[in-house]
Amino acid sequence: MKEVVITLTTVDTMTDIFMIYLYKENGLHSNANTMIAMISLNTFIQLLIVLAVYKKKGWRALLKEWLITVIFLRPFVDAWRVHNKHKDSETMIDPLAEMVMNKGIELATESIPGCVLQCYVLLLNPSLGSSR
Amino acid sequence: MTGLTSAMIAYDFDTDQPHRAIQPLFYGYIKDGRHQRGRTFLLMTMISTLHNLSRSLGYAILAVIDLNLALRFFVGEVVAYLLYKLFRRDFYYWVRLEGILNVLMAFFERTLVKVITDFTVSASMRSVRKRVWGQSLIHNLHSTRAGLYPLPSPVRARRGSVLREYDLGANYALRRTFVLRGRK
Repeated sequence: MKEVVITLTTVDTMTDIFMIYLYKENGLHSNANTMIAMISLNTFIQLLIVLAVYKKKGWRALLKEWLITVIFLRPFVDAWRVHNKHKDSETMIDPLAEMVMNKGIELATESIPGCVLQCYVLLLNPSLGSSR
Repeated sequence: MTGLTSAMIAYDFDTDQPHRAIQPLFYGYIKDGRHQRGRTFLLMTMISTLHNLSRSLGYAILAVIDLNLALRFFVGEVVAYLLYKLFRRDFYYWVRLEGILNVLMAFFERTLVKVITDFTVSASMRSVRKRVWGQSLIHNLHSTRAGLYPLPSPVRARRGSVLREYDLGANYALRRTFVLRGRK
């Protein structure tokens, strides 16, 4: 079960990127840009959280964690650490709290607004994505 | 995916031993046992997904009618919730910071939790220590059905072909009742 969830949460970003591509292809540039803004906001807030959590560990660890966030591997790494009961005394919070925080930010800034946006775009362009 | 993420947060919190030890009255709603856990997780995912779809569709219909109206509705909901928290002297988050940072952190956390709970009914965010649930329950249950309720309305006349099938009678009534009160 865990492995399935970890995989699905990681491929979530790919579906978002495909959505942006689909919007751009169909000339819905403002909607594509809104989607990009949501992903950017999510990444920016997650970078701030990484800064707060890992600042005691030094620049090297901080850069590594930032890189994980920027290349959208954060859900995978967080879930992996929780699954393996990873312990680190130098971080501010435990892996479970960190994962929940990152997931919460992702839900509130990207997934939920993205869902509303997709419903909105589909209502305005019902033929979008169909072959007809 | 949103429903899955929300269910995963609730599942991880509930099956975490320290959480069960601290709040035994709330945590433990997922029964121990492989099959029960799997079944509960599946049901939580379905509930969150369907609720998210229902509410997102409600907001999308409102946005198609009038984007500003949807934004005002969202801001109104969040402000009402924050005022309620302030009134109860429960605004500040447990992470204590200094000065304005404390206010910003509390505002940020409360808004995020409000959005997540409203859209996904995440069980873990309805615990006794968070007390989010309830404030917009009526709206949650009402919004999409109201948006789809077939009533004739003047809004229909100026909409595109998509919304002709749904109509927006009750949302129009809501708009007339709450949002545009006082405007001629």
